[in-house]
Amino acid sequence: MTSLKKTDHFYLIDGSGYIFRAYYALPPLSRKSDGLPTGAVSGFCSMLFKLLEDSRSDDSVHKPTHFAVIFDSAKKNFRNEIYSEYKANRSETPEDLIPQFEYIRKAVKAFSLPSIELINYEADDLLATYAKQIVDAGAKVTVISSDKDLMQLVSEKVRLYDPMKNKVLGENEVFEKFGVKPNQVIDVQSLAGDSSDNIPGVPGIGVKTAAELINKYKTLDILLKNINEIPQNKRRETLLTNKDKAILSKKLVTLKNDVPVKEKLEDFIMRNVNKEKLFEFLREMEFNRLLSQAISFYGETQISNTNGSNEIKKKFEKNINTKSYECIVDEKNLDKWIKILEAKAVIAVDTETSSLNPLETNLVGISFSYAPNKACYIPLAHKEKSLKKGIVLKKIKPLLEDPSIKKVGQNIKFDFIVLKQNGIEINSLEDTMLVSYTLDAGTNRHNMDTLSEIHLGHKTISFKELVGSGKNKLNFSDIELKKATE
Amino acid sequence: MTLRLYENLKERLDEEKLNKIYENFEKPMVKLLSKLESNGIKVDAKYLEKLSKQFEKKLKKIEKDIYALAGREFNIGSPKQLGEIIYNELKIAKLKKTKKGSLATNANVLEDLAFTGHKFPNLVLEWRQLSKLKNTYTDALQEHINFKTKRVHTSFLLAATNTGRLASSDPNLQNIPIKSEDGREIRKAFIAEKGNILISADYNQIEMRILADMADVKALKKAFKNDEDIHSLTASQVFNIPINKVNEDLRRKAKAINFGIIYGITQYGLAKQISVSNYEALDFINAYFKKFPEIKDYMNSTIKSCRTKGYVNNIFGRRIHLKGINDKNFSVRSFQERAAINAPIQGSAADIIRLAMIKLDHISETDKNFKAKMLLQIHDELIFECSKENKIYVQKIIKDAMISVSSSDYHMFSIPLNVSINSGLNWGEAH
Repeated sequence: MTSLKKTDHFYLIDGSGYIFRAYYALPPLSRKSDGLPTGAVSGFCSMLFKLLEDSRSDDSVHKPTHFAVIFDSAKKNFRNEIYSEYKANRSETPEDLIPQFEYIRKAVKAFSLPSIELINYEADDLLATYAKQIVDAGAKVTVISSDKDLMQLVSEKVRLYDPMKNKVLGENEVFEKFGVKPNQVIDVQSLAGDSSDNIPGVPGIGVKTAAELINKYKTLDILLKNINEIPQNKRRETLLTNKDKAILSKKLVTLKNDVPVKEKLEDFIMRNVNKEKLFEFLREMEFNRLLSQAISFYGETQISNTNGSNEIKKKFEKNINTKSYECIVDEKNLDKWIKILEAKAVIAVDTETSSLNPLETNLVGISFSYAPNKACYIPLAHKEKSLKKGIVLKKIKPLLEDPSIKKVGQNIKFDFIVLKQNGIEINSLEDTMLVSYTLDAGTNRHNMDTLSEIHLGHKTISFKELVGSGKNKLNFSDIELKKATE
Repeated sequence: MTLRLYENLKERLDEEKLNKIYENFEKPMVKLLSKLESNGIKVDAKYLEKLSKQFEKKLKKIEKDIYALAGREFNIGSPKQLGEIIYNELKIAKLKKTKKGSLATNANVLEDLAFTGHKFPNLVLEWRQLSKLKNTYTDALQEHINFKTKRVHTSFLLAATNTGRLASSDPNLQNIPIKSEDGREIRKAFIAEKGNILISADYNQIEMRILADMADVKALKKAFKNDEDIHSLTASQVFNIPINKVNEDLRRKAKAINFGIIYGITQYGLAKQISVSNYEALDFINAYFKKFPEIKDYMNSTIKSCRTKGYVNNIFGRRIHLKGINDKNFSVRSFQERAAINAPIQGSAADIIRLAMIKLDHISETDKNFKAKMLLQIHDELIFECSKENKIYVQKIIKDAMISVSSSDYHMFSIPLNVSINSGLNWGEAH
């Protein structure tokens, strides 16, 4: 029935999940002309834009061919019929987020992407259903989400991608989180419960114990049939008394993969963006930076005639350029890079890891940069061909430990601990997060996304400073004055 | 990206003269906290399991009492069902709804209700607190034990607050209640390795001391220099009685006023806290400012300068921006005004303990006899672990170092700092 190719790759975006994350993670924004809150919409558009950019890049192995954005239809769904307390602990949707839902759906349309929802079903169920259909048809899926409830979908052909942290979650990462294979995640969740969704689980059993049990018995059903075998008295008793809760929890956490969806998979194929429509939407929302990005990416429309956007475009191109990361996989190239880096006074360092716990994580790769657009990445634990970790670490150790070269990082404490675990003690640390914190505590957050957003924002709008650009800027000039009078 | 950001921001550090803060109060913390995080702290898993059960039992008992009062069983954790009981069945309060129209059952509402003498909301509050402790500590802590080291390694966040205070996550160890018995029970789960002890060193009345110094409050400074009891002194001043006539109750009230000033409490907040009328509370606050006029002056000038600059500085020159200080909305503005008073005080305390940590880290690298590991920082408290034999020497060094921060290159305090130090086989004993 479906005619997909093996190389087809679907990007399914968990729209509802992303809205909330964008809302809480990004600084609040509002439209200047009328004060409409737009922080989440802006974050959402940036993400869509980035994902679409991926689809054009040449080096991406996971280049998407199909796109869809999937939303929850309403707060109540069939799970509330099974269990009235499902997600009953969720706090109310923040007031300044509510008006943004409408615009997020408009944004999806403006990007010419299909927007999918179905009454009585959560986005997760729709995602599960489509993922199954796609895999059955032989193609690949990337679910854009970081929701642990979706980890049960992960397989050889399905991965999760968290755009905010730029982390891909595959089978290994799921194992790291739950201690079991993706197809056993449901069983672990049924035992451990989930306070954020109000899934009861079995009291006293956490993820660790649950994983231990499931690893031993393979499935929840087998475990429940053999409770009497469990040696620990208390554990046996709680399991006996809470059997029902585990079974109920399983019903709640199991995603439905046979939802009667209407749209066909073929409908998700990437179309050309309707530039006029997209630019108009971004202009209406007053997302100037995104607009200029979009213009330089898709090119001007014929009717667009503003000099302003040209100017933005020029600035933008000058500043951003493409990420010209060089990937180092042979020793000769590594030696060449180390030589270059050793001659610099300041370099940037960033480690890529398999988890966010620096003491338990694996070092997956390390990147260096010494000037804008001069950067390299050394993969250390990828599936593809890469240099031996031991060799690389031995070679970069003197560079990293050299006190005369400053190493700049973002939250470098993390990188420091990770490298320390690998026998390297970085010297001369500098940290953009801490510089920003020293300068702007109380003004904005200090994570990379926020900083680059503000930083880039400054760059692109600086030519219209006279129009006035926020309190931050005013403070700044105040200080200038004070300094001048001193 | 990082590099460009660094160059840009670094330039501003010079222009805004904040290099000193970045170099001396931020950068040294990176390696230092890495050590703390790697050290971790040992946790008694068996004890936690026991405690979990004990809490579970207690919760069951409270649940029973709640059901008895409600006349039926319901899910206490569900705000919706709880609202039903409070407003529709027990009818112990006038209908109060949230902005979205559901029944209001947040902590504030319940506290107000409890204040009017109802037992039910009190029990619910107690239940909520205990189940929170159970979920976040006795249950969750067990999952945070590192399988290699068998210890818990929290992560300290350097840039999560606005004041310079650290935050901690995975697990958050800075949130264990200080006073409650349950909090103490949880602290007992943090233990020393065999043959070792934990040492807890705590700055006493650090914020009042900072206030006395910053605002140059003569009476308070004198009291601190003479090591007098600061809350009794406040009571004697505010209630106009000789200091030897101050009883426990008046002292408690005076203490509440002192803290109220530091945290920018309103007369209404104070009235509620010490159970007096709003008028009486206002009288107390007025009397307080009359006796300590420097504090009022300090508050006025701080808010005024914050209005023009948009930020406040702490005693060491750390800057905290308060953008809302000129907001059109009254409640936003007054919230920021209170923050303008509190942030420099709390922020100075945060930097004092940072200096102490840096000093002690330096000592541990240079003094071979100082065989102790720094494990945790919980606001004004530092936790160390060392062998039993080294206790006396280690305690002396820690105390001296912490006190000596009162005279540093960055600020000379006009009052002494005071540190209490204790030790034990677990944190509960040492605290």
